[in-house]
Amino acid sequence: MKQANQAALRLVATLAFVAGFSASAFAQSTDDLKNDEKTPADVLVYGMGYSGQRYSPLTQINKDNVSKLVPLWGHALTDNRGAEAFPIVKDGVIYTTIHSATVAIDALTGRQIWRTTHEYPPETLRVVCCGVVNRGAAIYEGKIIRALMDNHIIALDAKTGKEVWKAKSPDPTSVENGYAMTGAPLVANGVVVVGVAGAEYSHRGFLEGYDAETGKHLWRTYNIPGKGEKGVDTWKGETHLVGGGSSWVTGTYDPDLDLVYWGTGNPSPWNPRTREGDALWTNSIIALRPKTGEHVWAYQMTPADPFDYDGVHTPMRATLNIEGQPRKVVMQANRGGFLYVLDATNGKLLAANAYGKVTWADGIDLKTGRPKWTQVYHDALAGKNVTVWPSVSGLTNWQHMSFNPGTGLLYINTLHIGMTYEAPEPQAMTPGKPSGPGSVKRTTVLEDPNVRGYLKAVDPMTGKSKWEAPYRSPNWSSTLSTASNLVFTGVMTGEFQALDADTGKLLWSFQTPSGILGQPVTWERNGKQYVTVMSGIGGVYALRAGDPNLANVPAGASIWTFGLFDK
Amino acid sequence: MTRSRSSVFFGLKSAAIGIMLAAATVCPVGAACEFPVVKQAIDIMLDQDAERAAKFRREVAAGSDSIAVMEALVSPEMAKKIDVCRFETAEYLTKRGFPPFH
Repeated sequence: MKQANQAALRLVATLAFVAGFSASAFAQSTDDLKNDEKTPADVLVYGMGYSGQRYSPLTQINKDNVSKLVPLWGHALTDNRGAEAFPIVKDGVIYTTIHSATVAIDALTGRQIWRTTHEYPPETLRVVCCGVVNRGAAIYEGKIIRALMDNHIIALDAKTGKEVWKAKSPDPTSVENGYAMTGAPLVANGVVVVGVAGAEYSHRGFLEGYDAETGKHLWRTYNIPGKGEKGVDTWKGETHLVGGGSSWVTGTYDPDLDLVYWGTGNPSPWNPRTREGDALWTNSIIALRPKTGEHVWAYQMTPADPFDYDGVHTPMRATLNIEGQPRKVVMQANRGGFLYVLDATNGKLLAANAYGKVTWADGIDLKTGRPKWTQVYHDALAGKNVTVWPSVSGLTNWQHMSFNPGTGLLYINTLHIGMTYEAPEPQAMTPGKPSGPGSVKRTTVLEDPNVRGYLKAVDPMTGKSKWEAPYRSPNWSSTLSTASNLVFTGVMTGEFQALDADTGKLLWSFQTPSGILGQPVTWERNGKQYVTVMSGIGGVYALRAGDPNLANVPAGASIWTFGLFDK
Repeated sequence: MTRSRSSVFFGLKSAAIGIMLAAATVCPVGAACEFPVVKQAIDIMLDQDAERAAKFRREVAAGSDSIAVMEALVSPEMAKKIDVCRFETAEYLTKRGFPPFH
């Protein structure tokens, strides 16, 4: 009897240990997320760490052996929409998303562990301007947390895919009022921070915080000031209530400063002739406290924007040596064509240089932080027909750049497309009403139809390229940099590529089944380095650019993992 | 005197259905997309109505958004249907060679 009791106690102790181990293996605490960049075996935070640098210290795959990279598995995601998500990798499991499902996959075999589908009302698509997509999830304390297109946030058990909590963004967030959610959440200091899309449908953009454990809505901070708030005088009458300024691309976080950095989108409507003033804080970088949503500082890149130059590109954190001193900065390759470097503590502008062809401004005044507008810009505001570079798609769009601290360079997929532009007599706006492309006239201008984009290696402080690799169509994939001085990226016609970070020379390419808009990541398991990316054409450029180079690219979302051939 | 739980349930259910029907009637945004109807209207205009097709092509070539031009050239009822099917219409106009730019 005594022996039986002892055996039972041992069993209980063993079960408790296993349960504890299992829980800790799945727990991704705030500290784990902070240390993501120091633990390259896993990929826990959007952008491969809170800095958003998309840089890995892994070097097993290098310039000498990258030609031996082979696909180890491909996994069909059973969807024909754009595959733009950032894959999370934790303990041998890859978690990824499409608009209608979240999937857990065995990282070494490609076999599905679980798949949770998500439904949304069909009318949701009406306010999805730029592709039926989702850009990924966050992981926190054993939960996979993502946004749904119809403005819900959902947390799933990482082991089973079962719902842990689900929250609806409070009113007036609705499809009827022009809101949708396509971006990945960012968990910062225990708070799920999410943004919204919809500036093309006369909404009023914001950021929100939810308790990561319970899904409780904690705060909402509008990106556009309300009545009585500082900056509301940069809007005419009540137009701030339908003024756009969405937040559809994920930001970054500095745990030491406890600041989240997030970019905001275009003012609504695109047509500037209904607006008066700078339209704060559209096209801006905002620094805020994740626990409360309190604005700490903001900087507007494109005041009174007529050209849809969203400032949503992820503000990347780094420490740069400036005038002999290490300085914490945030960097943004802005859609308007300037590369901004700001002091991360206070938003002071440190550098702003064009990284491609720009004709609407001659530069940015470092003292005032304002553009040095050209006659092109003034004529556009006056309703004249002008030719302007870049086009509404931007010099880059949402596709993320990466930073290699070793080379000191940013690797940016850019567009080389201009436009004619004319803003006719505008119409009044109401919430939910289209306020984007239909409010202006535009045609595409190309210098060379066979070069619509470049992958550029850019000095952040000068905007100058060390090298530029031309592409027939612009790459909508993000880039990934490694300490072995490789740059990985995808091509809209499906090639997944590795280039020499020092020279831009193409070192390796593999044809995936569809176009790549995905975000490559690299990770390690059992001493071996892997690279993972999603393939699946869709998104705004494929849908709306009319690029003839993409006419024969088949749809179909899949995820691929590559490793060195070692058999 | 109390109502049974089932009669309360059916009463609430009827009220909810009534509210949903009313909302669907007054709220075109919440209406379902009838894309076959929209597609047919687009095809008829572009392929069988030379005058309106020429105007459509001319305005789109001059830089106007293809969805906005299409909405302006059809009846108000069809323009509402296009608005509800905005995304599907964009996809189809792109296939027909008139991508609504962004």
